[in-house]
Amino acid sequence: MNPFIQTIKSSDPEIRNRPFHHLCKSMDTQTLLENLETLDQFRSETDNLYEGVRASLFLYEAYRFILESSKDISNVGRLPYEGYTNILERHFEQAISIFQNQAKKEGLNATLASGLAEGYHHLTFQLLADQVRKSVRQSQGNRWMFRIGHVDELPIKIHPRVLNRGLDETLYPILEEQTSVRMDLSHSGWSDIFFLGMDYPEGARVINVSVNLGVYGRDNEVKPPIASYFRVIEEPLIRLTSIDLKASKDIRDLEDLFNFGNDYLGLLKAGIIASGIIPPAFEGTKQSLQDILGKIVGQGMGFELTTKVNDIPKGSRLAVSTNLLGSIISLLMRVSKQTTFLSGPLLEPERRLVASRAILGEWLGGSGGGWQDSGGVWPGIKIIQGALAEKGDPEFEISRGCLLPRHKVLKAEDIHPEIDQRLAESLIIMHGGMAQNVGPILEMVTEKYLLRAEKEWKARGETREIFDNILDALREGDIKKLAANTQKNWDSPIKTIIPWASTHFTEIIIEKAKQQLGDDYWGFLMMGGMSGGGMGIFVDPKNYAKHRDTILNILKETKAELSSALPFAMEPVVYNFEINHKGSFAYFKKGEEALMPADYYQMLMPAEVHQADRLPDIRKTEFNFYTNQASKDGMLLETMVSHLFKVSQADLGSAKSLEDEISARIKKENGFDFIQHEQLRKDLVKGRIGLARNRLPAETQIEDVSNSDLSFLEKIDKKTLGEAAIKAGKVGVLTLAGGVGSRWTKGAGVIKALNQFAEFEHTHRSFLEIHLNKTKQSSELFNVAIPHIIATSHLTQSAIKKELLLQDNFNYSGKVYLSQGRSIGQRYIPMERDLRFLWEETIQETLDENKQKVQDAVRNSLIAWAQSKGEGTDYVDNLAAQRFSPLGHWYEFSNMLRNGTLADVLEVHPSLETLMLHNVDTLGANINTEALGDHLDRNKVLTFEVIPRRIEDKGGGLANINGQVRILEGLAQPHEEDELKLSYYNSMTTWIQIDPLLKIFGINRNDLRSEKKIDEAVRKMAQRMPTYVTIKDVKYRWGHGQEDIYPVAQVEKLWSDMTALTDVDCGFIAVPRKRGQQLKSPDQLDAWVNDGSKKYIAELCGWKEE
Amino acid sequence: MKIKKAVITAAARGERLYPVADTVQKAMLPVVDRDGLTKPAIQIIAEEAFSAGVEEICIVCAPGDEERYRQTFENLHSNLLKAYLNVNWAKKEAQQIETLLDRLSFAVQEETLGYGHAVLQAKDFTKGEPFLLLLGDHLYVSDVKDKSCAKQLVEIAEQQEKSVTAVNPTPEYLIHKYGTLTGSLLSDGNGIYQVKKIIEKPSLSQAELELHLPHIRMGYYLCVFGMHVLQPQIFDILEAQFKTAQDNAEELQLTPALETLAAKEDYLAFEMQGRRYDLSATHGLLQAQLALGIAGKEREEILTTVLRLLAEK
Repeated sequence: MNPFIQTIKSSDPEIRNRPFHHLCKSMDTQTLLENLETLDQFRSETDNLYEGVRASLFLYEAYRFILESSKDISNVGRLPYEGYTNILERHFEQAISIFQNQAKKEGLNATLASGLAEGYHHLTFQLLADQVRKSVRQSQGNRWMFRIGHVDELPIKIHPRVLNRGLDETLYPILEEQTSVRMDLSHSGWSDIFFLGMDYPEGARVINVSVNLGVYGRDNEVKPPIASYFRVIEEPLIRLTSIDLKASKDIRDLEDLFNFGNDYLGLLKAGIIASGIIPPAFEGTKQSLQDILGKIVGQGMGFELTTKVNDIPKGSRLAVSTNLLGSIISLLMRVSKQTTFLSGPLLEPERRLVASRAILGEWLGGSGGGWQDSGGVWPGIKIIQGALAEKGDPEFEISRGCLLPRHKVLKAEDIHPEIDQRLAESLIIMHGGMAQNVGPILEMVTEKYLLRAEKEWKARGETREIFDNILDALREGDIKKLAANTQKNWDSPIKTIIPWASTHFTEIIIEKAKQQLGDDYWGFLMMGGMSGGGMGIFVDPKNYAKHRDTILNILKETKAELSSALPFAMEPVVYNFEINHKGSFAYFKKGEEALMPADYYQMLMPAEVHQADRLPDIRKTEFNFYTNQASKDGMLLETMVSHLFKVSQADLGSAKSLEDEISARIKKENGFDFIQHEQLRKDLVKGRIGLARNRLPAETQIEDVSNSDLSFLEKIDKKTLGEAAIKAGKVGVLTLAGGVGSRWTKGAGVIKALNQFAEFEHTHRSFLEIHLNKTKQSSELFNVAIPHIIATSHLTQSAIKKELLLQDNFNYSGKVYLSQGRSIGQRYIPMERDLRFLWEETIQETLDENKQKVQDAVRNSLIAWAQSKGEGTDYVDNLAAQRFSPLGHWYEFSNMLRNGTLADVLEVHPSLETLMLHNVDTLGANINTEALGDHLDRNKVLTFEVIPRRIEDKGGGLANINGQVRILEGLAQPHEEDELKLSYYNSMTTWIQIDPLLKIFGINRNDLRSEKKIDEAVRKMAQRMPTYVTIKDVKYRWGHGQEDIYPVAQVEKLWSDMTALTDVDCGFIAVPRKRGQQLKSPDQLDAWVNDGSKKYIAELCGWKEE
Repeated sequence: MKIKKAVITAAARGERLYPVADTVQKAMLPVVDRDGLTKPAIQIIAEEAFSAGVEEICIVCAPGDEERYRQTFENLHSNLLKAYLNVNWAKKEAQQIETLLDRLSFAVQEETLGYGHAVLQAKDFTKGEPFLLLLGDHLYVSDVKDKSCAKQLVEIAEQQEKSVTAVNPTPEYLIHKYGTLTGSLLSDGNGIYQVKKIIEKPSLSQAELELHLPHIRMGYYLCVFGMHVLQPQIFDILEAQFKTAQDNAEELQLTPALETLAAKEDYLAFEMQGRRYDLSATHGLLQAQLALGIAGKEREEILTTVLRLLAEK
């Protein structure tokens, strides 16, 4: 029998849990392919979720990590365009079958294998997402919401107690729901991922604690951090207010209610829909919201929903957003008579319903969480664990476990009577300030689980023992034991399962805490998806207060040290906390007590007071009650006044003018060209340049290159030539490090070169450290000083300089030069036409159903934003540094001329003739003697390294364009499908012969100190290069860890267009992917380890890799 | 066991039928029955009971209504005989009223303290015997030929010798109006359930979590049909609950008493083959009239009228 199918279908754990790679070990390629064919057949026929998912992932793993690098198949190939577009449009089955047919026709090659792997990978997660969606919809208590689609059938009425006022009462009552957040003490290897619970319910369990919070040093009290408020209003609309996001809006139609991307209130909207008040089946029905509200509240009436999370920042790992959703849903279920009691606690079945609807709400809003996240709705400390699916469950016979876990609140006999106090006096909960996307980590966990990767599976086993120890410690009240176990959990299973859960920041914090606290340091607590945001440290309670300050200082100081290298969204904070024993709890407030929280009035009163004559009397009375109450509470008149007259706007203004000053300085220091900027703006606005104009004419002939057009690294035998050049001091390195890795941290403005992204020899290392280490290796091998130039920009120069100084050039003894960018562009508000071109005309990856809806809505809002700001005007609503961009890497070489770096280098290294230019994310680029030898032997001015294309390589490649072999940039492709004709993709690594290139610029070495000659040469050369308009994502940070992403327009000239110049003699070498691939996004990291790339880099750097 | 008695509750004021019910009890509203005769609604209900073999009827009414009901029936009887001397249909109608009057008694509900309280007023009338309980503002049309709804229910109750509530599958958007229940199908019975839980006017969420029955069509629940056969023990339960209700200043409903019965596993539900019409609902009277008309002997004529109306519009 097929060993894969046998493994998947077996109920014997010994067989079922066999690691995938063990199964493949003894198989030759032919046997493997045969087995994969039957596995694919099995996959397409099974109805069982687990079987389908595991088979798909086996197929992915085999194609991606075994076949793609197999010596038995061709390393080069092409993907059928139709298959590629099917992938983007999420038609994975079709894509797979197109790729399979192609493989049958022409034999499998590595490019097709990469396409198949991509298809199976997507399919795996689509199957999972579909099942979660199905289970949520079919969850008992939720189904009716998908059936009832018309107001006449909607059996929802607002509870009479919130609808009726006493004879002497003016205000309608308010129902306030207070909800805690949840803290996970056990972590249990991300076992709260839905699929783990559904496939491995026995192993899916966590110890989940409901906690109240207060920010240390800011809040006087510790309380449930989440509150939501409901009140009936005498207007036929829904008024949504999020106090923390400073957003308020009147919703007047269903379309707006179901639009989760046009404002900051998506979560509140999802809460309303998931609560059943206006059920999901109403979407797109064109019914009048006024009529619906008329039926459920009363004719001409509506309601307002207000939320507040007490400024707890995003990324706290305390599941704030899921519990907020839970709070809203619970509140709205109460007022619509879906709970037994209007106020007070919820009953157990009601909590379960809230939890399942919170999952529904997350799905609607396009976000996601784990199954334990709504734990704050329950009281106290509880064990949450997976439940086997039984007859009657929607998951029965589809998966082993249910979507929703079981909650068991621990009773007095299960926990030590003093546990509350002991935890509060020894655990320091903090938010380190880092903002990260945990999505990729959760995917990696699921993959490793399905493959039963040996090390990780063993680690998962260890978490079970740790879980039991933590439970024992809670019963015994032994915090030291608890801390020892959470530390052990972190050190071994968590980091074994996913090394990326740790960060350089976390490791330094732990190290410093251990050093400074000595024996008083008891252990680290990993709190959720990944570290760097919410974390905990246990300390000896004797010195708790002192250590809390110490930890806060360590956090702040370390953040300051690393802020240019890692993405921080906010200043670190430490929390005071207590265990919440009430669970989500509602309070009924009437008469003069029926007021919203103070911040609500401070936020809304100013605008409303200015139109006082139009304000309904009831609103005036409410404001009056509030001001009375405020004066009773001792709120200072000046606070009120400052809010009423927006005194703080003046402060905001001053912050903005400070950034304006910095901007002016940046322009001055970086030689900003005002005249060129205005010219470009004119061209942009008139449509003379733009995304559509980037393209070459449609009739351009684009063909793949033939083998005679390039060299192949593995076939070159020019080592001696290369070695001789190195030894003679003729070679240097140029690393391009001017960028801020917009894909790496999604526009966070972090300096990618300095980002310590991976551990080598137990230390997190940055891109820059890796590059300098490779140069160091070459330098030591050939016993020669190799100059290493780092091209920086206004964004990266000072931070890189500081880091090199601090790290002593990462122990590289040769000379390191910084070449600061001399060309800078002011970013523009994009043109609507360019945004539409990007989003509507070019082929885009379609997202999961609801995520896509949200994305479409966001895009419409962004187009409206661009229009309101003025298309083509300067982008200025952000920090100064985010307003500018380098003008593209074409300028990097000429920058070295203009800023004198090349002159400096040549003065010290007069024998220097060749530079190896490479991107900061091309980790495998080193001074390869064969490549260098080939470049010299062929006597080329520039030699570009290219790699065999895989499906993930997007944009351009090496092409024969109208008979000329050159690099085609993605932006310049006349047709989307062009790049799929091209077998090789540009790695950007270029061997440059300095003197011939200078000659093409019209100068020579002796002119390098002549500013005038250089300026003229550069300007002349630049005119020959095409200008591209690109749209980049820029992050704008505000509030407490909130981030918005805006698309901005910038112009660029690209280095590889040098290959288009007929007077530049260019060569091309095909190099292995490990050498030429670029690490663009953190979700590549796991595959980068699995396919041996990390090991390859370690070898280049002389580091040992386990 | 033979069911000889029926209780019809008709004490509620017809607030929803304003203005007509201001002057006329809603149970006295005229409706043309299946036999073509125009009758007060209560007479149709009473005849439904007689059709099931019931011999005595007690109407639970508001104070003062007893006399009005009796007087109205007597007037109707004598007027018919006087006005339509020797006319056949009038003789027949008068005969039916006479039968009704002979077998009729009244129980007065002094205060409106809930449906359960209304039922409790009939305790003396039932004298420890099981009884058929009907609503004074509901009319029923059976789907079984020659067997009324009451007859279907009474047959089951006589055979099972237990309290039985008639139910029918009701779409989910209506269940907030009715008592809704769940249970397990008896293996030997057709559409007979051992009731496990009954909830008065549940929310949809609660219904889906607690009242869903696997073999009933998705989105439908078993709702009370407004017709029960109850064993006399119901009065003990109602009396006990009445005290608590009074202490809490709450009305006494029937559903909690039925819940107690369910907890004692002494309570069945029967899936009725028929439909009921609530006269108090919006257009309830109209719907009931149409249903009776179409189910009656003048079906063709009524259908023609309806079609003509539709065509003219």
